[in-house]
Amino acid sequence: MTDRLRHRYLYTPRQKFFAAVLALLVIGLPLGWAVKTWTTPENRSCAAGVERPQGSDECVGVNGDGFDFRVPELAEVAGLIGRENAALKPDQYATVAVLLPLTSSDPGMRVKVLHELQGAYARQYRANHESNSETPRIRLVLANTGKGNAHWKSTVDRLTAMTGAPHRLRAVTGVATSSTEVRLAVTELTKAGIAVVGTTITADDIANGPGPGHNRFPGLARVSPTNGDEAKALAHFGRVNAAKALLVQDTRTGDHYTDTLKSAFAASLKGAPYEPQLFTSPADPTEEGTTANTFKQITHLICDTRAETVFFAGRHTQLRQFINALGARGCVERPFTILTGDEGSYLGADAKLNRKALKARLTVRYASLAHPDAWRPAPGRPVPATGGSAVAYETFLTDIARAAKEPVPLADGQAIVAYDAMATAVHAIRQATPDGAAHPELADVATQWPQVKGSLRVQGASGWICLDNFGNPYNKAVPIVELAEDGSQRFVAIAWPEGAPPAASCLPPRRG
Amino acid sequence: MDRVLHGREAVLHRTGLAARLIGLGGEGLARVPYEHGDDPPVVVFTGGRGMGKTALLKQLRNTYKGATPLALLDCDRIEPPADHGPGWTELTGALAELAVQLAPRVTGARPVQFPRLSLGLVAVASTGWTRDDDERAQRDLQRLGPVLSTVDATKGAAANWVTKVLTKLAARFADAAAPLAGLLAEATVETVLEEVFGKFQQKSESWYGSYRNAGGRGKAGLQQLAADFAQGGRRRHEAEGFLVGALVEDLCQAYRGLTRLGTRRGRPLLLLDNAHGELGRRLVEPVLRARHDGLRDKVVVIAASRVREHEGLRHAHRLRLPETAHRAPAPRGGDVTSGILAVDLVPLSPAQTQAAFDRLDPSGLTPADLARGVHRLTGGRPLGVTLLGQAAAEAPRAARPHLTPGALLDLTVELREDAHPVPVAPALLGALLPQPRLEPFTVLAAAHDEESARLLARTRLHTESRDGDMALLVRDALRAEDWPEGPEHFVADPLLRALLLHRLRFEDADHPRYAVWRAVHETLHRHYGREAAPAAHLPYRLHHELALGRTEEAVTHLRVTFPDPDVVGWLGRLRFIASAPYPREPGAGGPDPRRAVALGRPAPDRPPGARGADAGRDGQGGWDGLGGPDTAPAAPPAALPDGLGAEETALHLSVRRLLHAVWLLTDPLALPDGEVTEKLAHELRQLSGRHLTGNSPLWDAATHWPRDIHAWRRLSLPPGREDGV
Repeated sequence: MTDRLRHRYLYTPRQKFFAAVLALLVIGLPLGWAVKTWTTPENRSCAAGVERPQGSDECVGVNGDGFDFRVPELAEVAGLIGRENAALKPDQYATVAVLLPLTSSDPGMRVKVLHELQGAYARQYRANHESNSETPRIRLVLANTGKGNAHWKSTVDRLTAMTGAPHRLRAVTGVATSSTEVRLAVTELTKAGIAVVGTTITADDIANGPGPGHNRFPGLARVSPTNGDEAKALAHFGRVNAAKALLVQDTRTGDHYTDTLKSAFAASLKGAPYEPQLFTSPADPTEEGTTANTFKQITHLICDTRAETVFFAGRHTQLRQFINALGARGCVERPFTILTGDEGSYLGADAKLNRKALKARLTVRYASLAHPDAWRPAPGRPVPATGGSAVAYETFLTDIARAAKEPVPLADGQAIVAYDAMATAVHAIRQATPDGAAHPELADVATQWPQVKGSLRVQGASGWICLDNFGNPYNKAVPIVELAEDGSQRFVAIAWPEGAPPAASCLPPRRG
Repeated sequence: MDRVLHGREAVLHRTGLAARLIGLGGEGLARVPYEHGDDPPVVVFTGGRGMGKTALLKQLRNTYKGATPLALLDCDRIEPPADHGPGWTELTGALAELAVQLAPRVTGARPVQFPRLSLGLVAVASTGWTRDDDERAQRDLQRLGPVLSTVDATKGAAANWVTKVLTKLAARFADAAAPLAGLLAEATVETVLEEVFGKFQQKSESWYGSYRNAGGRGKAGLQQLAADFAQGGRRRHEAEGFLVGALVEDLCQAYRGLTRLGTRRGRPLLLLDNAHGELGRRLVEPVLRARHDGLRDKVVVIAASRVREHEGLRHAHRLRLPETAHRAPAPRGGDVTSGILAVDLVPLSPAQTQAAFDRLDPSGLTPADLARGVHRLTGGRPLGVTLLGQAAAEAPRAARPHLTPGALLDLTVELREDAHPVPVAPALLGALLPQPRLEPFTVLAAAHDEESARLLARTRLHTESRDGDMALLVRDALRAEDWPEGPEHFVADPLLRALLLHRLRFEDADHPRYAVWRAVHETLHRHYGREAAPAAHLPYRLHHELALGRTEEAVTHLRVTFPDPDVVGWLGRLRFIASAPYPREPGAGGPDPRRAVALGRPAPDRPPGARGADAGRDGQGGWDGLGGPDTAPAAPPAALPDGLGAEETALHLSVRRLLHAVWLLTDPLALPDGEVTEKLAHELRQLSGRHLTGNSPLWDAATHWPRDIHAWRRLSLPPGREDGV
């Protein structure tokens, strides 16, 4: 049988040749495919400039072609940015990166990231279309540091490599959280001479300051007030009657946010009759710990005082426990107002918050980064003449409408801040571009910040952005908001770190 | 159909001669390196009738069928078609036949096309057509249909091209009053080209541009070819040679070209049986000439020639078959025929005969010596061995243990499954000597030389001898078939002689008279016994007496001449007299009667029917049943010549035993017997003691003759001579 087949199909040289070719195909193709699969490294690329790091399914990297980093919510705005970028002519643009944990799994962070991107895009659109054809055009790229900013290193490496043509990365914005990874990332970026504009970072340790050794991030600018400024603004806002105020503070040191609040509140509560009530949060302040018991006791003590305003210097988990405890206080008939930092903004989405506590004559007020009602005149609430403008906010509203089909929720202020950060970056890039040049030198952008003041200030949607010599906003408007029962923020008033709106010149005074 | 050819391994083996020529091993069709490079010789197997030439060619065909294009043509059997015109010759018929056989597709390749040959044959066929004979033209064209089918199977077979050709021819006839052969050919070829040939085959016409006077124009060449063919004689031969070239060229084309690269293995094979005739020569010669002129066509031509000393083989390289098993060098010399490798087919060896018998008859019931005896009778001639082996295999089981070569001749054998069994001896004789009249051969087989043959012809064949000397006619007929000639017998080949004598005795079936046999032998007996006959003729006379069944005279003669000093001569006479054919009975079973006499025993009882009609006619029947079957065993014993002394009586009896022993042991139709052989040695030793002077040769004979018999040789004379003469 085999002989017959051999004589029929493998008889002549030509038959043998074709049989060999066929056998080669039949055996070789799968074999080659298998060998290739085994030997070549897995294709971990997601899109141009974006790949999955080993041991992770996240797409990490930098992309401006409309790639959504596999986050469905981001698809729309990423597409818009990609389209905008695609319309740019080569050699006529400078690139601004938005450095964010785009693939974060935390729902709050996801919303925040979306709003930030929308804000950034809104400003990019304005920079490219409605700014009198100023050059250079702005290309916006998305830089993902991954969940928890775990992959910041590779992304930052990629960013630092993009400073040359054709990208000409000139600024990084979007730096949004105050964590170690972000601080390291900012350190790296600023070390590479890239201008960084922080959006919602408030912690003082990602900021430059006066004195030797404090200028760790040369080229960093922030559009949000520092914790210290916030605290000062809160203190100014809450300077009612020190005799009727009480400070509840975390004894755990090392938490910059808490420490800043503590010192600011302590400074404004000089002469208060009561010593601060203390609690000690766990090492990880997001854990529940045993502090709830402490707060129950503190509640009793508070009822014993005559205090009406409680300054709370602690993280939001503890804040929530405190509010819950205070809602169940014995002295329900006495109204209390809790003043705290921007951690209060997390309460709105906290399911463990006992909302009924807010009915029990308890008002929670905190400093917000931006609020849509801050620069909108309302009956009985005129807009301050300086420190911001309603016009700038109206412009923002026009722009943000382009960022999504659905109206962008603005209450959390993220979009506004991101918009302002982008505006600051664009401002610096264009200021740094010499006459006749298509785009600025990298180093020139980072050195623009000290000049962003006075008439060269940025008319931000959240208020004027006049930077001091350390890149921090000077006397930036701090909207004080009140937590409503439905979890939303209700604008109360604008507070000023310096106690009053800046002068029309908006020039920071000499310090130190 | 799958026969086993014994003793032909040199050709058929995996790396045998055929494999080295064709490039394909016989069984697995494995690749075998070509031995002769690109210039293989034309191999001619020579051998007489029954030497297995045809069987060998058929075996080659069966082996390579389907593996490479091949054709087997028997040059003696080209059947002329009915009412063919002058456009048909044996050669054109053979070429058409070869082309049709070569065409079918073989493994891996497309069929071979023969466009050139087709055109040539069409052109040549047109030479015989006349204006009035449409039918002949049609017949001729239709006959070429198979060849044209090789070019285009559908169009060639459809035959509407025939009509087209005829129409066109009619127009041409109308044009010219007497069209020349060449013009007709051109018109025919044109039509065929248009109707049958595809676009790519049109150029095959231009091959004829190399024909004489064509000047590169194919049409002119074809015209000239047809004209030459019509002219006849040397011109026709030239044209025919060119047609053979066309066949070879078409065949070679199947191996050339990019589209055919690697589609074929081995070389095409042309098998020409009986190529010694005129047709065979005319087929092979153009090939040889073209090769001599440098053409490397790579066609393997294997022919078979019955004539060994053929004039066409004078400058051929000659080898015997076993020598070609590993190498068969045939370097091309200056002569055209040096491109031939003539291979003599050798007879089968005893071992091969034994193998053939074992294969044909696996029962093992036959006598152990039978195959050896058959080999002695047939000389290893494959046809004889095969046929007798088959007969042994088909013999009744009861008869098998007593079979002798002679008994095999009486049997029947089934040559074809769909025919009745035929008697062995006539069948074998018919195959070895296919003559229309066997009578002269039969009669003359009893003769010893031309003289006695002429005598026999004169006396016994006077009716046949009208057209000349019958003896010489028969001699030439045998020579023409390459039968050997010998000094002692007119028909020297033992098998042929045995068969002819068998026919002589049994042809008429007039048992128990055997008139013809008796008459022939009596004639010779009388001739050698006449008054004026020289003394040297006496042994011949006694030889025929034995053939007639009478032994006493021979015994007496040998006894009387025993004391002569010429002992070797006496032994020679003994040997010659005892070489007489034994007057056998048909279908005689049982032990040979000579055995009993040789051993000095009373004869066994014999059936009454076996008694000779002339029993005791000469009054010389032996007391112990001597004298063979023609002598009545019941005749009174002790028929000793009168007046013998005791000494002489003993000598007489001893010689009688010796004569019968030699007669039996050297009879090719009988099987020798160990007891008789011992008796032979014993008698010779006894006689050696009796002889006064010549005891040494007798003693030697007592030593060597049994050895010769064991070795199945002729008894050596003087005893112990190596060549056995």
